Amino acid sequence: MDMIKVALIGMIGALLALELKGAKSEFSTYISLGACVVVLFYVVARLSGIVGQIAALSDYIVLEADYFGILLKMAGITYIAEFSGALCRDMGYTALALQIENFGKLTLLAVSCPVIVRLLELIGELT
Amino acid sequence: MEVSLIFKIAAVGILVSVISQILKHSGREEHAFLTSLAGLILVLFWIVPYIYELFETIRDLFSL
Repeated sequence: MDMIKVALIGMIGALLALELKGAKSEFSTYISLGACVVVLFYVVARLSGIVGQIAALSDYIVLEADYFGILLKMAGITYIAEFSGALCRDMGYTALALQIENFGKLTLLAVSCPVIVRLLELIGELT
Repeated sequence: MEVSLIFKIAAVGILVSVISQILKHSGREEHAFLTSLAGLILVLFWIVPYIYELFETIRDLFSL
């Protein structure tokens, strides 16, 4: 049911934005921004359900807690970087979009550094 | 409330474009610019709390 709602919202938003592109072009970007925000609400609602279930699942699998947290953090960073980068690219500012995405990649690297260090320690212990 | 956000923005957009056309033809260029600026601010006034709330939920969800 939600899928139909999201698809409808997207199409209505795109049609309205297209119609306004002729008369007043900046309002078409506002409408696409509004539609993105509404769809993102549905995405976040669905995602919180999934994260809750995965957290419940992780009780069975003995896993160091912070690995799951790092994975989630990386997913969140990529999600926001993609969202804002795509919006900037929609408005025609690809340079700004690339800056945002580069910063997202660097933050990803920074977040995943401890995991790499731990992996190397593990290898050191084995040999 | 969410879907009507898009319709409200579309309504403001159409209204502003009509008003600015009228003002342009009646010779007042700067008023037309001011009305489109007012439209922009009104739309931002609606959207910014939504975006803020959205990023707050994302931050809580992903424990960023």
